[in-house]
Amino acid sequence: MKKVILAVLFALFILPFGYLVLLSVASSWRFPEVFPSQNLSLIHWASLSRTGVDWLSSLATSALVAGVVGCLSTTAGFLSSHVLSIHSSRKLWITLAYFPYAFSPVIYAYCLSFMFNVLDLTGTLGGVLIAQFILTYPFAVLFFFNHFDQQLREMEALARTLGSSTTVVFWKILLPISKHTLLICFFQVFLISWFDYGLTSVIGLGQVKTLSIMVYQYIGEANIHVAAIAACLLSFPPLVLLWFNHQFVFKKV
Amino acid sequence: MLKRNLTVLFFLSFAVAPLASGFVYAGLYSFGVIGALSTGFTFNHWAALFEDQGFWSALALSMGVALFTLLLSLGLSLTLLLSLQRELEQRVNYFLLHLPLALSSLVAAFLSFQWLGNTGMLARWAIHLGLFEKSQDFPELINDAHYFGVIFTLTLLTFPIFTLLLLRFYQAENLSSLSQVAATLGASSKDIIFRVQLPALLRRITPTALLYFVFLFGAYEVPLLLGRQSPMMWSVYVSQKFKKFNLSDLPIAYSSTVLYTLFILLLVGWFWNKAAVSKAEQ
Repeated sequence: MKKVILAVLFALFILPFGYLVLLSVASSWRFPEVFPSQNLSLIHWASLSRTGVDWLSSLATSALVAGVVGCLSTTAGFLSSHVLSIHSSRKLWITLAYFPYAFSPVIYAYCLSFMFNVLDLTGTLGGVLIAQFILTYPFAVLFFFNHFDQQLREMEALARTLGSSTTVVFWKILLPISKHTLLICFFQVFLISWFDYGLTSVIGLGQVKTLSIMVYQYIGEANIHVAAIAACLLSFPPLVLLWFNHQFVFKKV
Repeated sequence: MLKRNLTVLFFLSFAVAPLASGFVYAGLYSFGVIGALSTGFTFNHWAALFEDQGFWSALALSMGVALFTLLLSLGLSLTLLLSLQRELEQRVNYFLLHLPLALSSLVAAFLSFQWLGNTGMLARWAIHLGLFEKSQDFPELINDAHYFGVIFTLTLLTFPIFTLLLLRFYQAENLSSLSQVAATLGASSKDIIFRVQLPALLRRITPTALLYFVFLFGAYEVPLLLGRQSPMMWSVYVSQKFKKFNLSDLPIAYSSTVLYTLFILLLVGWFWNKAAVSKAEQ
């Protein structure tokens, strides 16, 4: 019985990815067919570049935004938490960091939009990058708050007592010890940015065409095969990240 | 000292100031102090918001969907964990449990749209198996009045995360050993579940569950694709008000944003209090 439940559960988890691939390579899949009747082909994948809809550029935009936001937020969050977690007002900072994190990204985007309009940043890649940084930076700060625990602080203090400079402590102790945590934080921020639709649609005004924006656009046009391609492109990189995480980070579990 | 002050300044500039300035701007707009059609300080926009039936139904719907999804996800993940804990800890199964994390809300909503609609995969199979004759006979599972499609999709996205968290708490609380001790002391299986495992797991998951309530309350992409025009969830309601490009609707949209912010402040404050209590209890 347990095996049946597990099989059903994992089939439910694997099925979406298989279905997306099948939908993207089905040249036609009319109602009420349960499987595509015609041969499978890459016609929709090929048509994307022919019709001028450059999915490669969307993929590159999403990767650029998520990569830059991931690096910036992880670095800024790490450095900020290192200072704020021993600050006398640490409780206040942690509470303040929760607000943007808990906010609905789309409503947050409307709160920010007047400022971005004034700064002439709406509809630009830079604007989306800054907006996503504003959204993910508090998350990264929260993420690292408990990382800098008593043990790590004592290790830093010990190294300083033994004569290490601040730079040496940072590069030779803090960074190597925090390697895995930094990697996990980067993955999480990358995913938040990679998946974001609400904030990007409001601040980017649909002109910054990330994959999420393309998926929504194709669904709106009832272009389901192309929407499936964009959904594949949106879902498979995180799968690779998960596998990478599983291989190198979750080994302890 | 300089490094400390610069860090605080950076944090205030990028984590606090954007939200605070947005809140002040929205507040001023909602009271008619600023805005294209501003005629000076007024409570009219707030009165208009409170008189709008759509606002109250959006509030009630968001609360209902968030609460129902949360309880359903918690129930599912607790049942899964308590019946299949050993199997879920196996390396391959543990990895498979992470798969839904690779799906964005938008893609999950698209999949539900493709599967649950009356020409979707479920309807096709049902017709293929002879359960229905026409697609119209298939029950309405998306864009339906009860928000079934939305709750279903949000639950599928939420419960794997809860299961992973509970699995981690199960290991951290050493519940396997505790359950064995309880069994040795004569506790029945029911006692072990209800007096040992459930109280420990629920105590640990409560702060996260509260935070998830806030996330689910503000869900946007899933109700946007699978919900209805009336009633709408709060995020969709606010976004529709902004998107209409109707200048007289903007102050109402900003009033609604101010109210949402206050609501989140209240919930996060409560969450923080709960988390502190929970930490103190541990």
